[in-house]
Amino acid sequence: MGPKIYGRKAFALLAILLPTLVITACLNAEPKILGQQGKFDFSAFNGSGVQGQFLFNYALQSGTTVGVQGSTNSKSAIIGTCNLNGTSCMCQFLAADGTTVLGSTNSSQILYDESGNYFNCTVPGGVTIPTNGQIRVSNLDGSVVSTAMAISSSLTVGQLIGSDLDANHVRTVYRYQCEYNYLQKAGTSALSFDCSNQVTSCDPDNDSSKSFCMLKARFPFFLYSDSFSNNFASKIADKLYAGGGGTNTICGDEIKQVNCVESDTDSTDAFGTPVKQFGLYSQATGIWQQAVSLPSGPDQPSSSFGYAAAVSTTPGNVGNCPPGLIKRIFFTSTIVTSDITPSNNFPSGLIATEVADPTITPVPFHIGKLSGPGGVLGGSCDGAKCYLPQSTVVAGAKPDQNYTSTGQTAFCVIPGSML
Amino acid sequence: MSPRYKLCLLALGLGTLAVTGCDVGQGVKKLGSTVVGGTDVSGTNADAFAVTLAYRDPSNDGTVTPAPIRLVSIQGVRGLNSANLVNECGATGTSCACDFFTSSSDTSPVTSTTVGISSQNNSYSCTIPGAVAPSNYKYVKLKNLNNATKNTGLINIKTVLVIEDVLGTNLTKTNVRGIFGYSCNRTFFEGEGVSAANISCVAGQHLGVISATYNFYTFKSGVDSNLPGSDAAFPADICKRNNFLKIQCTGNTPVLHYGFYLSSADPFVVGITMTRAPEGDNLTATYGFAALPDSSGNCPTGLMKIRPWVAQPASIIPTGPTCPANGCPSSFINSNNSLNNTVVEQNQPSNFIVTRQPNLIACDATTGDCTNAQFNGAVQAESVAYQSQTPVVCAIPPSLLSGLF
Repeated sequence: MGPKIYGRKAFALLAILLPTLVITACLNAEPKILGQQGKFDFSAFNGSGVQGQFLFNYALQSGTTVGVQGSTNSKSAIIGTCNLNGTSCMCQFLAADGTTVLGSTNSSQILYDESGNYFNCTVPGGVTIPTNGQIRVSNLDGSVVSTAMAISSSLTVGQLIGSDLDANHVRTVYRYQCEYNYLQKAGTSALSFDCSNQVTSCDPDNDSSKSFCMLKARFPFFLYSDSFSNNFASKIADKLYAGGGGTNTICGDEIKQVNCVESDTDSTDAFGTPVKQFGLYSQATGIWQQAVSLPSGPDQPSSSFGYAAAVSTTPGNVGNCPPGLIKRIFFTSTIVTSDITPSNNFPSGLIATEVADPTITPVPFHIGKLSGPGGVLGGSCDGAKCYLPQSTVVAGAKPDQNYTSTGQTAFCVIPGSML
Repeated sequence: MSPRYKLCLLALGLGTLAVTGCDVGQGVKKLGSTVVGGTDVSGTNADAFAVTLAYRDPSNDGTVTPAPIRLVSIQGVRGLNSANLVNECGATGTSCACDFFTSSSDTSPVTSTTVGISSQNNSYSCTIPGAVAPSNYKYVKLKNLNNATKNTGLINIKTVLVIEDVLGTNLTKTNVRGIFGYSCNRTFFEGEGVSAANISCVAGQHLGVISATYNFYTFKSGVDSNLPGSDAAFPADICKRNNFLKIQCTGNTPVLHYGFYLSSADPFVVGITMTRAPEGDNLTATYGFAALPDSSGNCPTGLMKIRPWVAQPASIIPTGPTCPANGCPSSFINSNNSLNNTVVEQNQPSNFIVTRQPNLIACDATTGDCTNAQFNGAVQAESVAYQSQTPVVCAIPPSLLSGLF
């Protein structure tokens, strides 16, 4: 083309090339031909080049502390980067833009909890976490830095479980009760009951026409469900005493031995309705390593409901849960009935199990009693038939029996409010 | 006009054309069976944000209660790792948000408040905020909060879907199973000679009737189906009376409720077990597979929420003037959960009702013949609330199934 660059040929060439450039530059407006091409996979890398390890699920503020939860397979990278105490790292509090550093922790303001795989970062003096403030974890020389995370004041279960686990495997645990009806009449044992007429009163008023009473006690049971399974079939509606010859009658009556649906005496008393309590993870992985076994219903042995996280054993953090989780412990009450007279079929030594906040002891175990009003009106037997006690006043059969958590180990679960 | 001036004009004009033609986000995408979007201008992943459609259910538009549905679901390209929305939006979707536009020229979009993501279905859900009628918003743009140049561009929000939209290209309509619901009435008895398994014709028996309506399901696809139950009589007369049906199903025609996929294939991965009839062969089977909700509990694009609900009635031991002081035995004994009623529906059903017709005139005082026994009017014996079981799963709504069966 020579030096005459403004000539007719150059003009024509430019007119051809520029539309070509336009077409080439407009690829995004057309449907794509998709293929397996190179990509930057955010799940494989994070921060400044540490592959697949230095990852965190969320940051949760509680007062002046922000808990930063490591993801499932991040523990070795975190310890390798920050050491077992976390003091080779710092938490950097960031403005809402995710880059402006408002302040950083010193070695006394950061604590790494190995069992829970999380950091507790104390907000440095003079730093106020702004709306939409963020946080990141960095080693001291800044060569390994996590991505910035929003500092949350509450979590969803999806955030809590994190990107490497499936929230559909979170198991919601429910509690319900079954009311047991034990038969009380002189001459009764745990294995036998007859229709004989006894003159020994079972009522506190010593009226001998009230010789057949019912001891009533509610035992707690638990159910679980996740997106793939549940054990709700373990919850029976009720169970009748089995009489002789394969019948469901005993001394002429259909008598409920266990009732897991509703009260016989108060239809508004929904003790049999499962009520959501807390969440577990269905598989042993990451911090979810402590198996939790619970009884699911009458005649069912305790079985594994899933896995909780362990409470911390790290000095300075002993007994605490990972951020966002709450602490629970087993309380048990061994039910003594050998001192209840006259005799009855309530075995002594049964154990009631509750799961509760370690600081809140469950209400003591109560054994109630139905009796009277007497004779054929209810509360006695005549040798061939028994007349069920009809009183709606449930008196205590003996002093309530306390629950204790002595010897039990606390564990950490997902709050029910999150489920 | 000098050559220099002409050249400048041409460059300016073509440059303007180039900028105008290179839509990196604001242009309205043409949606079809192919993919759209993918505006990762950094060039590291051209498939990022490639989506096939956006959808909002308009079924409650114009109503006050329930609230209009403000949820918009965006369907990403399935079966392509590089197009996984999780890559850009994270496992909980919170690295992204949706902007909603009233028109393609709207410069003041509103941004979603709640979001969710389904990695199995590669779909994203976001909610139109505020009080403005959701039908005012015609377009949505899914964007990466950390890099606004990564977005889908403006996607027209559909309000009508076809079955192919929820199945994608790898699943076939032939394997969609329609789930049909119907009910059968079951009859039980109370009275002195009654037990769960049989009835003794006791002299002077105060025979009464207990009944309840149970729900059952059938399925039908392009390749298979099963049948509803039929009426069934008791194996023998009831103390000389032959006018009782143990099971009565006739007249209750199965009605299409929703659809499952016949086999397990993404996103339909949760097997759902259902019951065909109260008695007979092959009563219980896996009727198909449903999808799981996304990280915020919303169903993948175009699917509807359903869940199992169970009513667990107590065994009935009636009391009253027609029974002995302690009550009558009955055959309505639910000790093994056989009298539970299970439904799989979107909303909690109204209570499960069990009724009694207590005895009015007793059976023969000598022979126990109940031919002339009479019953009182029906009274409610139990009203049992349904309890939800497993969390929500997602099924194909009936509106997408017309013409398939």
